[in-house]
Amino acid sequence: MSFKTNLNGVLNNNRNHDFTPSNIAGFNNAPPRDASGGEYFYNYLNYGMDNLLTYSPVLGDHKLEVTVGHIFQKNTVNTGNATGTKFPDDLVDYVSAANQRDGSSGMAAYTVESFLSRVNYSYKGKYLFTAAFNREASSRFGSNNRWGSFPSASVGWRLSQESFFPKFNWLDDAKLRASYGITGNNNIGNYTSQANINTSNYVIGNTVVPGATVGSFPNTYLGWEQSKQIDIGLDLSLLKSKISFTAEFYRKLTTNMLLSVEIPAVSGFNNLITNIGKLQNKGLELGVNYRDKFNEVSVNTGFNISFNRNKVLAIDGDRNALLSGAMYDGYNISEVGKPIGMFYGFKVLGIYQNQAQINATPHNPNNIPGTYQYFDGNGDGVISYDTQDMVVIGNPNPKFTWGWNWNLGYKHFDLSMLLNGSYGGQIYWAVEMNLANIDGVFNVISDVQNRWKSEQNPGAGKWPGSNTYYFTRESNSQYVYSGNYIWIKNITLGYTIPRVKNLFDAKVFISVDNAFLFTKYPGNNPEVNAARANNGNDVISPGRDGEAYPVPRTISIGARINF
Amino acid sequence: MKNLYKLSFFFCFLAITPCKKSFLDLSDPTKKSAEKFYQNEEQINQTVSGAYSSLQDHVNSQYIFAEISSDNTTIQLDPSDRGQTDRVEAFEFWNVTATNVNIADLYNQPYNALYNINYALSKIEGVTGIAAQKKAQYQGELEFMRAYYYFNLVRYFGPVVLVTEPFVNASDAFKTERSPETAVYDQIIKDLTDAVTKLPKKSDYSGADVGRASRGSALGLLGKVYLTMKDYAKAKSTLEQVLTLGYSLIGQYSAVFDTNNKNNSESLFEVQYQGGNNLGEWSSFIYTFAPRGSEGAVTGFPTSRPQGWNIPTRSIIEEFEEKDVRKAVSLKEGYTSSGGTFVQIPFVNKYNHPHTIAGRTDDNWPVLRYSDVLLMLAEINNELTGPNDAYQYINQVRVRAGLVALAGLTQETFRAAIRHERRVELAFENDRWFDLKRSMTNAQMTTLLNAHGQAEKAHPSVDRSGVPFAPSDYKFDGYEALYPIPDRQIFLDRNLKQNPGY
Repeated sequence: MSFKTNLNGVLNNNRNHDFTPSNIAGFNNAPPRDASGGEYFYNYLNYGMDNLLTYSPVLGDHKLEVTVGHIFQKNTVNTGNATGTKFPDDLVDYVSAANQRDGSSGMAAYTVESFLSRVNYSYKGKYLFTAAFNREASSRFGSNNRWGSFPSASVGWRLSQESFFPKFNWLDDAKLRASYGITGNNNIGNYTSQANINTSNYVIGNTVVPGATVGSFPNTYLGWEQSKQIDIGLDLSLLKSKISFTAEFYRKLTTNMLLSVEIPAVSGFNNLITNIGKLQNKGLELGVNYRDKFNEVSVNTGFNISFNRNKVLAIDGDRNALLSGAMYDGYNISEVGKPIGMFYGFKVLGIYQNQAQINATPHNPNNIPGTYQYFDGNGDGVISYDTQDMVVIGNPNPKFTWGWNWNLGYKHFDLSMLLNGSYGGQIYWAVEMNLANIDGVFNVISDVQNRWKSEQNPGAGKWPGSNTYYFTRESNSQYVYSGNYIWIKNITLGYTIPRVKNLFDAKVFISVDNAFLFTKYPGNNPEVNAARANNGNDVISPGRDGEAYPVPRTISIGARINF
Repeated sequence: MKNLYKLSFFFCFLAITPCKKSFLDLSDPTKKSAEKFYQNEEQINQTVSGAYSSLQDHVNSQYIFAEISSDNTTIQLDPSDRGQTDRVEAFEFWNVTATNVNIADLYNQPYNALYNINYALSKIEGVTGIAAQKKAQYQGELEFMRAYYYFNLVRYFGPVVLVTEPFVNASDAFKTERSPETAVYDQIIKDLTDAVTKLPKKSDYSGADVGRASRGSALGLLGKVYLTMKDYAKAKSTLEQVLTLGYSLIGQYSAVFDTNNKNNSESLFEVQYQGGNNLGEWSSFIYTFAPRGSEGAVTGFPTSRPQGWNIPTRSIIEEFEEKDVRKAVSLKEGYTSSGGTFVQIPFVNKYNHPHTIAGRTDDNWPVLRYSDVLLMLAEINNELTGPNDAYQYINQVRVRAGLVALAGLTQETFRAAIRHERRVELAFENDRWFDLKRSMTNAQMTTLLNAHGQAEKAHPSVDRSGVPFAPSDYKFDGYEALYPIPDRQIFLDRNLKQNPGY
């Protein structure tokens, strides 16, 4: 029996002092200018205590370890700043010398507390078993719903050590493992469950008087997001560890997801961070690694591939879909029974060439020749200029993603390469809506010169005409592109110079980052989907590419010398 | 579980901090918690001021929904900004759809304000240490504002969701339904009737309280509500009470809007602003209304970039009689550019007054004026007994405007005279859309607006720089007298039914 108390703390004190003297030029602003300066304080304190009681009896081939404990943690950030402008000269660079001073200060904290218990058991290293049960609370949640229960269990079975397991000289080790557990997520901002008072002043008696309004909808029931996950895995090691192979199947059921979602305006507010929905992720991950050496040639290569399928199982009792986005920015919709964050908009059927075509199909009064012909989603015979006729137009979720790395060595040379790729997902190239905007005076992509001009000169059949604003740029299937790609992310060629007279050895290399991208996607970075965060709105609004700074191709040449 | 807590007791001994119940009970130390507010008179006073403050947000954009959509004003089309096609411009051309972002604002903002009003009303009764009379005043002010919001909502959207208590649980907001117009009007009348008894007279407010809603504000609004419901008898008895409260028309029409003459004897209620400082309470109407490209020619500040919204139409310019002094106050037919040439783009001049800081004007927004009360009484008396009992009211307004008194009209021609008089007296005060809806049948309004649209299409009040009209422009179908419920709201709450036609 042992008892361990662990007190821990991290203290981080930052202080910045800056001063911009009057004789330094600003952007488009020649000196002299108004000097400015400031003091910035940032204190971070994280402290906590773990108290763990462990019981581990000796039982021959059996190994048992039982742990119970209590953990708490508090995290506090204090900030403060004072800034000054209109310094009379550059002689004193502290804010006290400034003629105009400004400042602010703030503080934010969160706490977590948990009771934990755990059992570890193994028999001859063949059977491994772990079970745990934790109760955990976070200050970030509403006063009515702070505590969550998180049980978990895992088993491992080293098959290859069983007497009945046939002995193959090509198989070194085989292990089967399985686990089940519930994990919690409190990754939201501090104080999110609480409503605060905002300042909203007014004029009464010809004097500005203080006014107060409620800033957000209080959510005293805000609680943990919980994920129940089952994992089943197989690890194999073959041919004297030249080949290793892992396979893992998982099924993850996330409930009470923490999302910022729209709520009806009649509530007084439009958004609320709340627990909503039930999402299932199922997947298979396979990995194989091969390592060998033939005389002076060495090979090490690894390949992994991941398949994931997600499905919304429930939103909540009140609605059957979550919609995010805007008419001129693209929409994502998450509907029960379908993958999360599907692209939503008008389905383009073509471009109207003449009035007769318009009259013969479901249309809107503002359809003129040269506008998109859209699919009549609700089948009422007319196209509405809103979301009524919109349908699912694409799926941002890839069918699989993969990665492959290579390492080849020959004598003193080595060559490595890293590739990855994605297949089966789509991207909504939202920025095209702006880049193909021809209803005003804008810079546009050059393809737009092949726009529709007349029935006799219909262009490439992709770009509508310029005579109207309507039915040319709404959220539609025109902007949905395949997100398939193969990307050689890095190639490095190195040469090792052996030790020279016991003085030094060295390695020289040339390396190319983001070397080659193979894709039909017209945007700059088909990896936008990969940026989907675990939390926040990206979860329900994936794959809308508004374009960021392009990914640079970097070529570097270097040498490392050891004396 | 029991053992776990025993265990926790043991650990508490070792780790004193988390045993305090408050260890997990943190609130933002840099903000005031809504839960702990509403404790004393000062805090209640602040929430009432906060509710008034949201009226600024409300009236700042009403010109889009009550003037541009009518025949009073149009837009100075910006050929380089076609993104406005389904925003403000949609109201000019009656192309409003359920996805329009301005419609979302028009619908969402009142409910945010109503949350605060309802929250304050739910708390105020339990707050101690407020004199009964003062508590009644705060309640009356909040009820007046709640009625004002619902009156606008019901006139813009028809049946709307009626919320009179703050939601405790957000999920309850998903199960609401639109209440019939009669239920909404019942609530408005209930609030205003109560406010009339609770609010002090305007003359009883001391200087520090000038600008608050008073008994006259509530009576004037209640009269307008009854008139809108065509309950002429109740409208008459309500508005006649206003006549005894000491309001009067001031001699000069231009002085009514003068920033040195705020909350004057003609004002029943106005939304307050303050320019000339950096306290954030300024208005900037003239910067929205002055022609695009006029720069400093109208505002007085050459760096300004006015937006050219709410431009007077040829139709309203022609509506003014020749000697009407109100025309020059209400609008200008053009401006002289810095280069000295006259640019013939008209603009709303009512809220154009000298100010000391660019973009920060001192102009208040008039919500209810005594001349409005007089014109309502004229309309009511004409409906009840014909013009004879109505002349005394309409002619007070006409004589002040430098015009001859009316006489010898029939009930029907008097109706037209009232509509005309309201149009010019209350020009650009966000009444026209409601006046058309109230005083005309839907078919008459449709005819009038389509005729106006055809005239604008043939000869736009402001040059369109060659931008062609869309086929649906200026086609008013009767259903458009009600605006659509924002589609996102229907998406969130399937019980909400869209207005017909959308």
